[in-house]
Amino acid sequence: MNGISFGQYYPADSPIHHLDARIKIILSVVFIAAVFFVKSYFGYLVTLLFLASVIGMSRVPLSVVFKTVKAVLFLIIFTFVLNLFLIDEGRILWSLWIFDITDQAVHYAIMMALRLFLLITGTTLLTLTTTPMDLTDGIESLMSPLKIIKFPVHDVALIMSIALRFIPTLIEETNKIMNAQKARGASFDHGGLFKRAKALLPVLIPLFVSSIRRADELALAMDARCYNASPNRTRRKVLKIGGRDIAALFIAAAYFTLILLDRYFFLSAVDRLFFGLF
Amino acid sequence: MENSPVIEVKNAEYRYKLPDGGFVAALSGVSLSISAGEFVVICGHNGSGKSTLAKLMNGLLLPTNAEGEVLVKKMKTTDAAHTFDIRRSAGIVFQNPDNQMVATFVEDDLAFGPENLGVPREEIEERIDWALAAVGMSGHRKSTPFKMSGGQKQRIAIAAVLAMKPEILILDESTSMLDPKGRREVMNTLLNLNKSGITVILITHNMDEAFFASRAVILKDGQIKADAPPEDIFSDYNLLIENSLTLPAVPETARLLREKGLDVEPAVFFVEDLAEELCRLL
Amino acid sequence: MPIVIENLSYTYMKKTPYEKKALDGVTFTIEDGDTFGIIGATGSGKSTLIQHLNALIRVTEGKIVVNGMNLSEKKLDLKRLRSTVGMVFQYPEYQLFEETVEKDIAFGLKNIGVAEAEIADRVREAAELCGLDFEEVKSRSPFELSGGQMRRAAIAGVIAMRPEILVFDEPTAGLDPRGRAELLSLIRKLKDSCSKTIIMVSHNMDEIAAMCNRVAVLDEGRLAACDAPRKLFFDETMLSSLGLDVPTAVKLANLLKKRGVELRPAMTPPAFAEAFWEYYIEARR
Repeated sequence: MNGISFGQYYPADSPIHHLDARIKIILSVVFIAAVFFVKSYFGYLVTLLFLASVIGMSRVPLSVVFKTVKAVLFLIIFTFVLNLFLIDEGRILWSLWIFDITDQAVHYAIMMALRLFLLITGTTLLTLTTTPMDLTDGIESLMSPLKIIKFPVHDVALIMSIALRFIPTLIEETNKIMNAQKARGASFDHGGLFKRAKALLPVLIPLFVSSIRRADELALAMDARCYNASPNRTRRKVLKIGGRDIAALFIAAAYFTLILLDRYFFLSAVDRLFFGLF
Repeated sequence: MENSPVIEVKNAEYRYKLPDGGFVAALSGVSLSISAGEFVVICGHNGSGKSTLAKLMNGLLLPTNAEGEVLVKKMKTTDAAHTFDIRRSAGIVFQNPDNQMVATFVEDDLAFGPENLGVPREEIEERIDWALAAVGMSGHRKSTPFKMSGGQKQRIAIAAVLAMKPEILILDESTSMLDPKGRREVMNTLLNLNKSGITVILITHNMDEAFFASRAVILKDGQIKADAPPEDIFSDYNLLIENSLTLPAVPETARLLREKGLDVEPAVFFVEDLAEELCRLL
Repeated sequence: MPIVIENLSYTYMKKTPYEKKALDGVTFTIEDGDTFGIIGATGSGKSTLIQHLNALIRVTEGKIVVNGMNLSEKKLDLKRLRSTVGMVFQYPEYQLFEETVEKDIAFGLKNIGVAEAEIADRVREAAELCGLDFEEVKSRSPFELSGGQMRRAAIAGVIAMRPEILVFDEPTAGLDPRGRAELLSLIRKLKDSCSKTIIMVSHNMDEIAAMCNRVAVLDEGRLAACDAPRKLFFDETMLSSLGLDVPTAVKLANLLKKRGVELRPAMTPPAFAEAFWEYYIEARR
């Protein structure tokens, strides 16, 4: 169970890595929104260039970035093919058996596939350059306005960070339990779906029981360390916005503006010029 | 030096209901007084009530009888206003090295207690450094539980409690799940902490650890059977047998030799001392 | 038949930055009827070694033959192997999962395909061998039992398969002195009944000294020594350099030796007392 590697944090010393987690989360949201606004090849080109430069600055090797994309390559190809054959509008370019491929279909299929690719790569960059811990802190900070409506921001953040802390422990425990059951003749890789699911009970039940016990002990330890002692809880970690973060926000804003302009004003004069589209 | 007790347990009882209706008394009529700076070992077999006593001593559990009372630095554990003062003063470390760490990184875990208490940020950083040094784990700020041994994890658990600056440290079987090396690491840490003035209360079933203390309390079936310096306990073999405890190897060897008729000092713990004794006999 | 281990090596996470050589050219044989101890500091490779014995880890470098079965074979009969080599892990009570104790003990038997008619008897036999009051516990949930009973139920679940070879990984972990003594006597009992060969991994030198007739010492994946305890445990320097405790009796004897008092070798307190008494009597003459 150590194949969980796609999208996982890749340590490096880069400007992107050093950006505040909150800024990165906001940038990711902006990026996702922008991708949905793009409707022209020019827009996609700008977006691709933007993404490529961020990847370059992040010092994460391309092979690592594309590992995640590879995992969903099938989905991207599937989307492409589906759109290719299902869109009817436009001039027919080729006829294969009962399927007609039109120019609009090609155009649309490329756009959708590109969109998927950009969304996945963009969000992967977030998790590649930000530790789960920093992400949790970022989310907690961004959520803090919710305190006004009495939303338990700190508790939710604590739940997330405790879950993160225990993931490796639980994986190790699962392996131990699986070994103990295998030693008693259990098998986890034979049989159809139903049989395999049933075979997991001797692993899941001990895991649940032990997790409940863990939770109980952890809660006691937290009580012993005065959890909820004071409404005036302090925070050791400080998230500071620096010049770099402001710069990143400006660049993102510029990018987003360009996309909007392209969509609503130019609607790609560039596209019309070069591809005879629209 | 002020000799008022830091922890007083007065006639405490703890019983809980069984699923089929009856009651089990984990502790009955227990009274104990611990002074500042002591190193007390509470020994008992599994099921003797020692964990229950540990949790009574810092208010995690409350006595189930009306007359029972537990006072920590003169504060009653039943007094809700003092709950967190008591838990800060009497920190407790548990048995499982894994199930006490709240965060992925040591520095975040150590900050948990002080953050809850509202300690200012700069002071938290100082406390983290101080606590790590006190347990011999400086340089482990960025360590994660995955890379640490049992002994290291328990020392971090102790540091996490120390970050609250308690006057008393209670250890509920904190060495039971460790290998010999880990146990040594923890015991040395406790000795150092006690030397620096922290009251240490160690709960264990391992009589080896009793010798580090100045006082041993024997618990059996929810009651205190003995409360004396370890040397006296070691000399009374019947007491140990009655309470389902065994002697560590050195005093056990001494005892066996006494059985043969040799005049060997019973309360001997260190190999070197026993070797001296034996040479003296020859 | 003996267990033959030849040049066994194993590397975790090959070709990654976390690569670690857990075993390095380990060679030794465990004979029928041995109570074989495996000792070594944490990280010396003990767990990796025993997990090879029932093919939880497949052999990648080297050779192991258990009861005539070559563990390198691709089409290894795992069920047969795992009913021959029974393995009790540390804190085995954490593997219990069934609705009743009876069903849990039967789990192994069902997996290896024992006939329905036979199962009930073997479950009872295993439970009683492990000191459980079968009638009392059989229909109860394993989670209702006391800690000690749970461990016994877990062990019963392994010995129900009647393994000729029984491997224990730190069997007395977390037990108090009385619990430890009871478990060790259970192991002796099991040796006399179904499992002639016992393999014990332990940190506790006194336990190993009391129970085992041969011991393998691992150090950072390599076999540092393999011999009878009485031949190994007196080498205080060797044991200390490997990060292992020295039995008290041995420490005492060595201290006396420095003062010119040479006793008959003894590894446990009772044996030491005897040895000293003999010396004392002699010296008095």
